[in-house]
Amino acid sequence: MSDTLISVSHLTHEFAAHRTMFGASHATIRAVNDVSFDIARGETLALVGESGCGKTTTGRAILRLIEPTSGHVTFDGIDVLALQREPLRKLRRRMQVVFQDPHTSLDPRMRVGRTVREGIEAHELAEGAEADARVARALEEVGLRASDAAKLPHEFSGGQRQRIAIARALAVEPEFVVLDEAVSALDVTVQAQVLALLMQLQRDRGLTYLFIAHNLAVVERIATRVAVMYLGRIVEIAAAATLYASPQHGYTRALLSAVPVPDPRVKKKRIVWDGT
Amino acid sequence: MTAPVLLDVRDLVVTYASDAGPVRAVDGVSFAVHAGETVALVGESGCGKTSVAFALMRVMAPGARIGTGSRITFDGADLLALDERAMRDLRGRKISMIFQEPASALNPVMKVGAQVAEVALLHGERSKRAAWDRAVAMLDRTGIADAARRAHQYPHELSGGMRQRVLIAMALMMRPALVIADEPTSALDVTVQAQILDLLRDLQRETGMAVLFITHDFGVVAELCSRAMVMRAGRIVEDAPVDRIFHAPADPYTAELLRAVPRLTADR
Amino acid sequence: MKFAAAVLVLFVVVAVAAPAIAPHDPRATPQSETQKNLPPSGAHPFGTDQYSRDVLSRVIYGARVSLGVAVVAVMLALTLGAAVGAVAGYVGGWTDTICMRFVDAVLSVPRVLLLLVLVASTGPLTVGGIIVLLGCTGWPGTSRLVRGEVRLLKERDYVLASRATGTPEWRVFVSHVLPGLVPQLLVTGTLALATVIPLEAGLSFLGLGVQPPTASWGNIISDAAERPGDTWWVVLFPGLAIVCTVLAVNTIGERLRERMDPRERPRT
Repeated sequence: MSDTLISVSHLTHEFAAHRTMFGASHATIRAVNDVSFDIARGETLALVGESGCGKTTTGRAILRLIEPTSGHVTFDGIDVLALQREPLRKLRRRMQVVFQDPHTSLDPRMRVGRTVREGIEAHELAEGAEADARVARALEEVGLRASDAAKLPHEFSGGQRQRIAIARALAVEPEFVVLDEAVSALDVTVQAQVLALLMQLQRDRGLTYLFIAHNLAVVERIATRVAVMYLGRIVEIAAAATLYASPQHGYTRALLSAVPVPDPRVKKKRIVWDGT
Repeated sequence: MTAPVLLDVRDLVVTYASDAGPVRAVDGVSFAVHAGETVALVGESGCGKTSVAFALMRVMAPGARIGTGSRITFDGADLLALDERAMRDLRGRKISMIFQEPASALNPVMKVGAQVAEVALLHGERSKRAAWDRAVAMLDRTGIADAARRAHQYPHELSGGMRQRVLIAMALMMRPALVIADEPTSALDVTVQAQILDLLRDLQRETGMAVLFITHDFGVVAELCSRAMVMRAGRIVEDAPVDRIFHAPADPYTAELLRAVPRLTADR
Repeated sequence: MKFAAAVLVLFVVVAVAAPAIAPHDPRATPQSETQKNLPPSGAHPFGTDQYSRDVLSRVIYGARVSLGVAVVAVMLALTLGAAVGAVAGYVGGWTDTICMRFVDAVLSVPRVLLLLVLVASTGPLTVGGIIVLLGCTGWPGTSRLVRGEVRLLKERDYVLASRATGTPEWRVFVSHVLPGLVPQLLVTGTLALATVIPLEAGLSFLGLGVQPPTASWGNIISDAAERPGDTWWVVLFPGLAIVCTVLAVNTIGERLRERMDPRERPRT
């Protein structure tokens, strides 16, 4: 399975550091700087880096939730950045996203069933009772009950809400999902459960993931390949086994050494990266 | 443990008013912290660990109340019997707190140096000049490079890690006997977290302060603490030296939590 | 809050049921000289004015006009303001710049001055005309608030998530952004009532608003004799009606604002 589903090349996103009265900008900041990578069908590419490194911007640019300044993104051969509004909207059935914070990613005023149903209706996948059945199935698949459809988001715990967000993403039967720090805000026990769920769903449906994270320990089990990002650039990209066993870049080593060891008997040597 | 008991908590109960009547966030918690010790209070969100911290500082959220049977003894004094003025004097001088969100714990329109100096001014320092100098020295001690210049900056001009150093400087200004650190590294990147943990460990050794480290992260506990108390649903389910907690947990919940901690294969 | 609501309900009931409640015809002007400028008595609890009309009946009928004009004008202003603000905030770019510069320009002229100039150029207006005038001068403030709110709402993760699911843009707006505006509009509308009621009263008092013989709280006052001190009741009762309504509406608006705000917080 090495056929490429997503191909990102020379992706760059700049935004204005200051704005004048008329909206023109003087200085710009490169949040994403000449980023290129491919994701094969069925694999999980982990995009790892610290806050402000541009990993979230990269994920959003691929989905065109923001318009990147330059570069190319192809999805299954389709030039994503060239799409007009309506074809883009249709393409979104095939590529989905789960955000970090399930407290902000669900509309507090909308019942869970309607939230999950939104995509099904937008893409006219089902109507009426059949749509209800699909919503129920989506909820059950992520470990919730069909009856939860009638509830509001605040009636759920953080982990359950994240399951709802996953159900929303999967209800339209996508091929590709961007998991933008999808487990970072969860308690460790819940985090482990949601990770297991994501891996299960990937196996069942042959999903392709772009897993954005800041903690290398969290993605080790799920990643096929890992890309490490620093200040807008990918500094290292390698198969997971290779990267964890013999990290090449100084920043990757520093990141690995900074992961705390949950064992008081082990004292890890900390590697500091000076940024050169 | 031969060091004297610094903080002794007996049957601490904290209730919150809710629409469905009072809710027990902390449900009868008892523990002791010895002088110079670093103890972790570990648990997942909503377990009541932060409520314990606030009760110790006696800064209560609206609607929160400490149960009548609760006892908190600090350095021989009955904390719950102190009047507000005596408590104010104690806070910052003998017990201080480091908060999770450095961005919201600092005053955005006040120079960071002035915020650190204010702690000294509140606790007896008369000279503004001297307070400022002490603040700069403290900022320098927390590893802020070029502290004399940084002291003149505002919080938004500093990085997250640097702001956390400022908060630590404020907490340690008066060399308190006990520092309560409420998830002080949870909002930070891993590399910055590692630096802050190193700093806390150094400062702890240097000053001999006791640290009550509140966290959800067992990795951090293993790095820093000698003893850990695991909290669940308002109760402490296990209280033991870290080596026992990590290698022979007595409580099934502790074991479950430990299993869930993400760890690198290389670190196993 | 309860008291304020009770006061407001009372006024609304009076306005709606005016024909059933009013003891006299508010326009009836008995030719008898003896009926002029009578102080409050059993027959005329609020006294009579210089045209021998029953002031109580005029205040009751005035409630209809004053409240009716205010409510419809505010609804018009809210609709216009919400439309302009939502388009500017959601579309952004040049549309936003043009809309907001226009709003700035309108807001730079005091509303009272604007109203006076407009009325002076149109001459006496019908009730419908006054509503249009008050509505059309009231929307810029609302549009600014709505624009701000929309800009916040459209950046919310759930809006992004809905768009990412492939929901058509208009539907994202209708199902996620618009419902989020309701609390804001409710509060703004209530507080706007409290400005529009005295505005209409002021215009009518100056003879530029609701034209006699139709009663509005503003023009009843202007029907006091040349020396209002002598016929204080003609001034006092409609004046009290205005003050009470405005206070009640303001109290309700403030309470609504307090109540709506915490709900908007994503975390608890």
